[in-house]
Amino acid sequence: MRSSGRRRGRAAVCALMCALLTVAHAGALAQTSVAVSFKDASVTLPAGATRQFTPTVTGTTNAAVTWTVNGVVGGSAAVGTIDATGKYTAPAGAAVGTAFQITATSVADPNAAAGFTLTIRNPTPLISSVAPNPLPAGPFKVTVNGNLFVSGAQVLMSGMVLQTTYVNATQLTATGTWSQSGNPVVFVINPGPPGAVSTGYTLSNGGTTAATPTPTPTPIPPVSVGVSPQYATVQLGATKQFQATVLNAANTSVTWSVNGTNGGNASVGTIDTTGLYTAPLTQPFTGVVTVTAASAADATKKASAGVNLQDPQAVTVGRFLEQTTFGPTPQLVSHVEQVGFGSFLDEQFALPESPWPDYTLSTTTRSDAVNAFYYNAGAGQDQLRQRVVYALSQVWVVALNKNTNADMIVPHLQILSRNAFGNYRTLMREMTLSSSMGMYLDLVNSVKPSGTVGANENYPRELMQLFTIGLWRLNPDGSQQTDAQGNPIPAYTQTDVQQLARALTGWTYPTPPGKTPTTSGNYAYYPGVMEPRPGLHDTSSKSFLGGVLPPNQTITQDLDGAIDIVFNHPNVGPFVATRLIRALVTSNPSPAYVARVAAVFDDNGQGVRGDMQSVVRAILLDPEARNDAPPANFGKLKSPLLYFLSLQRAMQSSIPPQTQTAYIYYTFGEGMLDPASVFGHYSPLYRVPKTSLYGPEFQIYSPTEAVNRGNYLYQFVNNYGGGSTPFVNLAGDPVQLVNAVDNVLLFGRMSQTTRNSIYKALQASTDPHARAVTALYLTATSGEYLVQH
Amino acid sequence: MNHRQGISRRGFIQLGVGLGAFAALGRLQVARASTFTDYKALVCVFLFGGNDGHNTVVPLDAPGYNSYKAARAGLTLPPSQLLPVNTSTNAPYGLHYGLPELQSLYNQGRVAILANAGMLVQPITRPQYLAPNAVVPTNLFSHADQVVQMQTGFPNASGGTGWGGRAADLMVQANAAANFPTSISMAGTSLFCTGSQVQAASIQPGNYMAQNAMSFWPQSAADARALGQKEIVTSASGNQMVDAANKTMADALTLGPMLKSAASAANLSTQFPANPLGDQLKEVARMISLRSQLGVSRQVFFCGLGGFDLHSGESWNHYDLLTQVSQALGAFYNATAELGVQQSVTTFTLSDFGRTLQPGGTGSDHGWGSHFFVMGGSVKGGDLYGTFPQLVLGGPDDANTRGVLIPTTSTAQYGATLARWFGATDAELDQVFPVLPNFPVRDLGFMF
Repeated sequence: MRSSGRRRGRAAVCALMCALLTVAHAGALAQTSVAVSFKDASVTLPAGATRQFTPTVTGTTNAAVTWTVNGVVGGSAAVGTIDATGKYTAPAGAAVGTAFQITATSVADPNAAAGFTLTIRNPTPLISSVAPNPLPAGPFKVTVNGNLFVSGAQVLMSGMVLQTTYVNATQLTATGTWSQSGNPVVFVINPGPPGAVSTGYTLSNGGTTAATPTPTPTPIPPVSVGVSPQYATVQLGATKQFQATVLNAANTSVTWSVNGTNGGNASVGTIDTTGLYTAPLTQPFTGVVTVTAASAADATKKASAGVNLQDPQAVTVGRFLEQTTFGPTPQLVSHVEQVGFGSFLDEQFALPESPWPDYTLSTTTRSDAVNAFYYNAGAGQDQLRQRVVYALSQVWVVALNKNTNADMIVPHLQILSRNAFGNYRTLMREMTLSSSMGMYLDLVNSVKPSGTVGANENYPRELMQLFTIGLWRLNPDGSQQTDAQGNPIPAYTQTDVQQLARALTGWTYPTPPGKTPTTSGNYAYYPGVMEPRPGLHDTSSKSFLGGVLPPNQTITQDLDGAIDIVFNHPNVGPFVATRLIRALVTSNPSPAYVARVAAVFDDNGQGVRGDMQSVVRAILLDPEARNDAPPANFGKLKSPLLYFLSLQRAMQSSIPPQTQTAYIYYTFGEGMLDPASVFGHYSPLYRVPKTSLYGPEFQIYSPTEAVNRGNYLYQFVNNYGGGSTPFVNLAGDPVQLVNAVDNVLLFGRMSQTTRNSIYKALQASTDPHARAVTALYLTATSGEYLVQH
Repeated sequence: MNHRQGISRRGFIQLGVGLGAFAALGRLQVARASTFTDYKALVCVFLFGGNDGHNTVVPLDAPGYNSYKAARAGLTLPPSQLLPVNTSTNAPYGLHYGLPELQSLYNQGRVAILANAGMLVQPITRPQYLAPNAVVPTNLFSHADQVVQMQTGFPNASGGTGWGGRAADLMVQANAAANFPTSISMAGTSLFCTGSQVQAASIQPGNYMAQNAMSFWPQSAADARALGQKEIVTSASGNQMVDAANKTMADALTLGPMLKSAASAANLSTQFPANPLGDQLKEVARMISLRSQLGVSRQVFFCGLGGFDLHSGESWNHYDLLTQVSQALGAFYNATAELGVQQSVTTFTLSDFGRTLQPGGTGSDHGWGSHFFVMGGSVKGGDLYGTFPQLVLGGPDDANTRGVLIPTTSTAQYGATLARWFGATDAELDQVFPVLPNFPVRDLGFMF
């Protein structure tokens, strides 16, 4: 918006000026035209430097001009400022190669203007000494000391380009062979374009005996400080020695600090008076710190080095938490590192459930249900339970488009939450008797076939197809069983559906408090479980899925018998294993992984079938999940909810209990608690387009949704008061910035390609905010962040 | 509450349209890949809330109109508010006075009316409906269920795919070279567009996949950020899932400028009305203009307009809504003519259900069968298809006593006629519409 407005504005000005020029030209013969000119068409200047510019104005006695930088009168912090006299100060953080257009427009005649391009170059290097001096004849290695050397700097000697090694900002070494007469003159060129050349430093010629060296007087430069190395990667708890060099001062001692604290501290690491840095034991947020040496002689003279702290367990623990929670936080990472995976799971199993809104209050709305779902997922302490609830909510679907109010959906969420770590049979039974589900899939008031009514098949069908068994007979490893012709074998028949439907007849809404139960069906009332109406139950014998319910059982006996028959179907283990693995870990598990988990579903080791705690543990501790160097097809696209919550958690952004952003999830194809049908927001069997890979979440990740996600991400990272501030503070140093983003979002796994591309993009801007946004946005819209892997 | 049961998925499990049928579909497609050299698009316009068909198409013969007037009472449209059209059997009907563009296109033979269609499991009469254990769709009259059923084509709550998406699935091979999803919704994520194989995309009219993050000053920095993203999302990571996610964004980077260029006035001079449906159909026209660049030969589009659930205030509101529909459809037809693809694009209406003939206050209540429009150069227009119902409360076409029409044509037959034109073979029609074998007529004949 802003940029197009400016573009339009500029175009309009140009059009106007062109018109004026044409008019002026037509009647110009008798007039002396005003002209503005500069000596140079292009100028270079180091970042932060100041230079006076003076235009030549002819044809008028009024020499005044108006100065603009990139079209902005007087310039700005981002493009550099220029005062009325033409004194220009380049922006301090401007990247080498950045170009600005400086224009002077005559006040006497606004049509007369001239300008030039100012390009930011490296600072001009200073040479303070070169050793050995005199320079001996033959092969040599010289050490060039000085200041403001930049990586890539080149040493030249009397016309020879020397093989140069950059040591640090104050030292270079170079090799060559000396065989000339006369005194060698050394130059240093900082890299460009445009390059920046030092003044010459003349050595004595050691190869000529007669010549007496002529001392070249050198100016006394100001005190300067250098720190070496400029960047270091240090493992948590490890040490690193830094060196400070103080030039041009008698007192060469320095004061060391870490992130501005003298001597550092336990959270950012400590540094002693010799420059020995000791990294902290746990990763501070962003994982990067700055070590600074300040001259004791002149504390305003200092130099810094960037430290990237490496947690050797970052990938291992980060991956584990990506699978077990709505995303790692620094606190959770350090906690898991302390207690280990198994104990962390035990802790999570034992945590109390996050609360759900009281749907019996008339003031509780569907928005409260959505808010609780969102807030529990993002901020609940019971992260593993929430992650499993989210997974189960994609299997056992009840949607707001039919169950429109809080009391129609909160009980459903409570069942998922209560049973996430319970037994799958209990979950099946509670779901079957749930008023929410009864309403959504029409089991409520389904009665024995008689008169004008029949047993409703909707829930019985979905109980088998979507919740427990699936359409096809499965092998224990989740693959389909096939017949002799190679065709998959249906897991159940329409007769099975009808028979199961009969078994589940006779349940009605609960009786509201204070009301008398009806003998037939109750009117809609959602809190609580459905009530039996034995008179409406089909008591004939039922037979399905190979099981039999004898005639004349009670309604509850038939319920339990029916649940048992379905629950004990051999498909349930591989079915549930596959669904949960896809939701938690990877879209394309190996058959062996499914089989291992399914075996735990079948028997948790103590003879119990359907123990969800054991199943969840088996999924998350399986070698396939825990392999930190997984195969190329491993991983899953983060759903919109998982993507944004994990981003906010990683960036330490607080998640409000009342989300104002529920609406926006519709634009990602994931309206919270509101899929279009019982099949959910995406099919667990959806395949990545033009591949054979499963990728359920890709069904709602087309180019439009990708951009919609990006645009919401941008709102988030572009928010000045939001979680991007720590990154803005680091943006003066692209290396530190990218390392921080890598540590926070990618566990330090950023690929070299991504890193290089982000570096390049960062060079184009000097604005710390824009730089932080670039690094965060490009990282978070990349597949490396989008895919949990 | 209705406890009548529908058939369930046994039908299509047996027909192989379940989750395991991909392989079979794949074989079919390979065989048919080379058969499409032309371009065709199906454009669904969904009137959300349940359009009142009774006041959309009204019989103008004396007995028919008198019957209508007697039952409609306060909702009756006077003859002065009905735009006359004729049929091949010389039966006069009147279109709602909000539909002049559709009347004109009908008279040009570009629009056909399909009378009294709706969700059915199998043909059913009033006595059968009122008899025990009638076989009808589940949860008739429920918005949530019927919106799903009209889009899935399944007369129960089953199915995570829409019939538009399944039709597109059959053509997926024809779009093998395409770099854009075949099935596109202009009205948010839609079940209608969702297939088993095709990717369903949604496009927001006027939003050409522009990333807000790429618009800032200075332009050089914005360009550098965009270039960085392009480099990242087009690089190979070594992980297939990561690459797939990157490819999606890379596609957006390619498609955004294409969509934007298609939006330029030079490509389309037809003026669209400034209403939500006009905006959506304008976008569809632009997408169609890009068909060659996108490499697609078959496309499915979904558009929608809400507000038709008129339990009150129907007279004025219905006029307002139908005016939007008529203007938008009229403009869309003109745009296809401008693009020279009017014979390749067929547009049709769907809605949750029809409404009761008998008013409820100043509106009407949820019904069942309704009348629909089909528009395009390949439509045998200027005629009414299906069987126009008797507008008698408690009459032979009434499911109860309020003029809830029992459909005499099923959504499956309606869709199958369109899908056949789109390119589906006769056998494939049963895969798209599992209940189609229950109906004797598989092609309603309104397409050339």
